[in-house]
Amino acid sequence: MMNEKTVLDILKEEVVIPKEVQESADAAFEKILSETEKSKVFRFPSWPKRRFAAAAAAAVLCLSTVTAGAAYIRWSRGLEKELAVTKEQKEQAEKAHLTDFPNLTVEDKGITVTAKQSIVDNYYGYLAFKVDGFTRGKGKEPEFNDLSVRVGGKDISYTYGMYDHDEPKVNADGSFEYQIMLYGAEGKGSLMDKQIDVVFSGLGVVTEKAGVAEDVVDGKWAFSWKLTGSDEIYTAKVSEKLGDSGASVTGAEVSPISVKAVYDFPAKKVKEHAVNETTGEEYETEMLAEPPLLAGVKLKDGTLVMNTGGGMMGYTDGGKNVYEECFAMGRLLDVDEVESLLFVRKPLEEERELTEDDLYVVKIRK
Amino acid sequence: MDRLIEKARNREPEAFTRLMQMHMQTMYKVARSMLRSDEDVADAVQETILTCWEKIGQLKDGRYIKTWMVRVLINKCNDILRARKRFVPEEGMPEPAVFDRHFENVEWNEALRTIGEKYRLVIMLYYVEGFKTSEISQILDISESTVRTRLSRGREKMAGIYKADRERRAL
Repeated sequence: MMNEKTVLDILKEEVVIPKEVQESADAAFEKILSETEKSKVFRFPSWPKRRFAAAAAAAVLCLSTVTAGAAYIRWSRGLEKELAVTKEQKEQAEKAHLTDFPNLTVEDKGITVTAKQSIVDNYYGYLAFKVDGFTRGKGKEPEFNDLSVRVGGKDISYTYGMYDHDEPKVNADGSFEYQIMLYGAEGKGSLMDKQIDVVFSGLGVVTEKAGVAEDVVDGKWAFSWKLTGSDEIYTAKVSEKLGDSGASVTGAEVSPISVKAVYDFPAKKVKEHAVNETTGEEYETEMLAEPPLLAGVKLKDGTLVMNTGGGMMGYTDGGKNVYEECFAMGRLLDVDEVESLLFVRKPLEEERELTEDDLYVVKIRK
Repeated sequence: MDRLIEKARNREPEAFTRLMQMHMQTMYKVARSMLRSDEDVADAVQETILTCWEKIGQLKDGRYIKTWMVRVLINKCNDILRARKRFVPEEGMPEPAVFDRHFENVEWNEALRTIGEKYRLVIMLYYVEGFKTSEISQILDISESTVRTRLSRGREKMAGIYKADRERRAL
C-alpha cells in the first residue's frame, strides 16, 4: 500500500544492482582497463576548449567534391599565432617539409571548408581548416556535429575545436578557423607520409551544457590527402634523479613540436581522499602515482618554454618500471637550441606561472 | 570529485571507471524506468559506459557529466526499444509483470509500476535523480513545457492511485 510520499521515497532508495547488470558493467570496465594496459593515458592540451576523441571505429564516408586551390602558401593565422612562429622558423619549416599546405576546399549547404595547413613531426600533428559561410548563431560557438579522422586507414586519437583566441570568434562574414591536433600514439613517425582522411558532418552551435551541437546545418565536408612531416629529432641518454620523487629521467627526445621523457619509475599506488557529491560520503580511492610531470624545455639562451599541448603518458613495459611522457609543444622549437627538459617538482597550491624554482631542470646536452 | 572528473576527462582509466561506478544507481534506475528486463538494462549500461569512455572528450564541462551520461544512456535505451519494437501500452492497460529475481527490489519495482510507463522517466529524472526541468528538456530533447506537463500528469496519476488505495483500505 502506497501513498504519494511513499512511492517517491521508495524510488529514491538505493536498489540492489542485479547481478547481470553489474557483471555487464564490470565487463566494460575490464575492457577499458585492459585496453589501456599499454598505459596510453592522454592529457588535454592547455589550449582552451579543446575536445578529445579517442581512436574509435568510425566509418569514413565517401568524399564530397574536393577542389584543390591554386598553389598558394599562406600560413594559418591560428597556427602562426598559437605556435608563435618567427619568419625564420616559417622558412625553415617549409624547407624541411615540417609544414604543408594542402589547400583543398569542399563546399556543401552553403558552407565552405578548406584544409589549409598541416604541421607534423615524429609524434604530433597540427591541422588548420578555414570555414566560410557560417551565418548561424552569431556570438555563439560553432561546432561540428561529428568529426572523423583516420591516418593510414586507422582510427587515431586527436583533439579538436575552433580557434578562439581572436575576438570575435566568428568573423562578420561567417568565417572562422578550426584546428585538429593529431596524436601519433602508434609511435615515432606514425603520422608522416600517411594518407589522412578527415570528415566533418553537420555544423551548428554548442550550448553550455552537454557540449552537443544544435541548430545544425546538415552538411558533409570530407578530405583526403597525404601528410608530409619532418623526422628531425634530438635523442639523448640521461641519468638524473628527480629529487625524492622516486623517479629518474633516463632518456629524452626533442622534435620540432614535441618533447618526450623516459623515466625509471617503479609503479606504486597512492591513496586519495574524495567526496561523493551525490551522497556527501567521504571515501578513499587508490590511484597509480605519477612521476614529476614534464613541463617543457629550457633553451640555450635560458628561455623557458612551457607551452605544452596535449600529451600521452604511462608505463610502456609490462614490468611497470619504464614510464614515458610525450607532449606536444605549443611552440615551434628550434631543436638545436633546446638544452634541458623541465619537470614540475610538485603541483602548485595557488594559480601562478611556474618559475625555475618550481622545476627540476635536466640537461640533455653536454 | 572535481579532481576525479578532471582525471576521467583526461582519460585516466581508473578515474573514469570509478566515476562510472559511482553513477551505477542512476544508470540502473533510469534504464529500468525505460526497459522492462534486467537483460536489456545490462546491455544499455554496458554500451553507455563504453560510449562515454570513447566520447569523454566531447564533454565540454565536467560539471554536466551526469546530464551527459544520462543522455547517452537514454539514447542506448531507445536503440534497444527500437530494435525490440516494443509495444508501449496505452495508459490504463495493465502492464505485464516483470520477473524480478531480486526480492530486495520488489517494492521498488512495484513503486515504478504505479507511475505508468508514459511518465516514469520524467518522474525518475526529476524527483529521484534531481535534474531540473531545463536539464530534462535537454536530455529528452523535448520542450520544458512538455516536461512540466508530464510531471504534472505523472503526479496526478500517482495521486489517483493513492486515492483508490486509500478508499480500498477504508472499506
